[in-house]
Amino acid sequence: MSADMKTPLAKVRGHGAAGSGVHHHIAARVSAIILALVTPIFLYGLLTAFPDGYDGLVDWLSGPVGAFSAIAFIGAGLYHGRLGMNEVILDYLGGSLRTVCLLANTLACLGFGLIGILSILKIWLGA
Amino acid sequence: MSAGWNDKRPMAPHLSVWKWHPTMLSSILHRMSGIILYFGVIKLCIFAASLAAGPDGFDMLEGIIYSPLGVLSCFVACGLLIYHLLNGIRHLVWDAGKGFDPVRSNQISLAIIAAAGLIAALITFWIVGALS
Repeated sequence: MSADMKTPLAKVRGHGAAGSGVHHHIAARVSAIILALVTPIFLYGLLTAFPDGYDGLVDWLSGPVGAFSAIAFIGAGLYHGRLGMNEVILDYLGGSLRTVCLLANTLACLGFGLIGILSILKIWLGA
Repeated sequence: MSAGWNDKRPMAPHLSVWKWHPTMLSSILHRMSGIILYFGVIKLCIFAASLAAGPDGFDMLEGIIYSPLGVLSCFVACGLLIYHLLNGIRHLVWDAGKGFDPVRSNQISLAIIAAAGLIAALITFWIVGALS
């Protein structure tokens, strides 16, 4: 019997993508571009408000720039983070642990994202 | 690595067989900083909730945030965020098909790591000055 000399790459060439890889790739890049634009504004606002304690931070989030940049940072950050963490889980975990971690990843990003965004909305709308 | 893993191929990123060089280090740092920043954003959400809970809610965290540990985590978090941001922009340049020259890649890797450390140090230095 002759050995199979074809490499795995040669076997899959021409068969197209396995699934949703293109969407994953584009979604990661688009959220990365949003984050690249928002992060400097967010970080500047957070760091300048930080030394003034509670009052400084609430003042910052009560303004439109602070509230907008914080919500955009948390929203895009967790969306981007969920995509990245998914990739890490798929790279290193198998079996039922993989399923549980993928589920936990989605639930954590949705749950904490809602907590963060609702908290900022409460401060912004309550001001 | 974990139970149920049935793929016989070697697992990325092959830390034990790769020769260490700057672009490999920057790739590993990118993934590592991404994982830590993931938990950082979750922490940020909890922080926002404590702010929304009013001054009493914030009091619980204030002791930790404005302590030497808080200053250290400011340095680490800013460093990782700025590193991931700069290296992420480089990933976008790579996506455009540019910047693959090996020598230049290694130089830019080291420059990005150094720049992130320097900017984080400046921010921390400024924060410590503003707090005292």
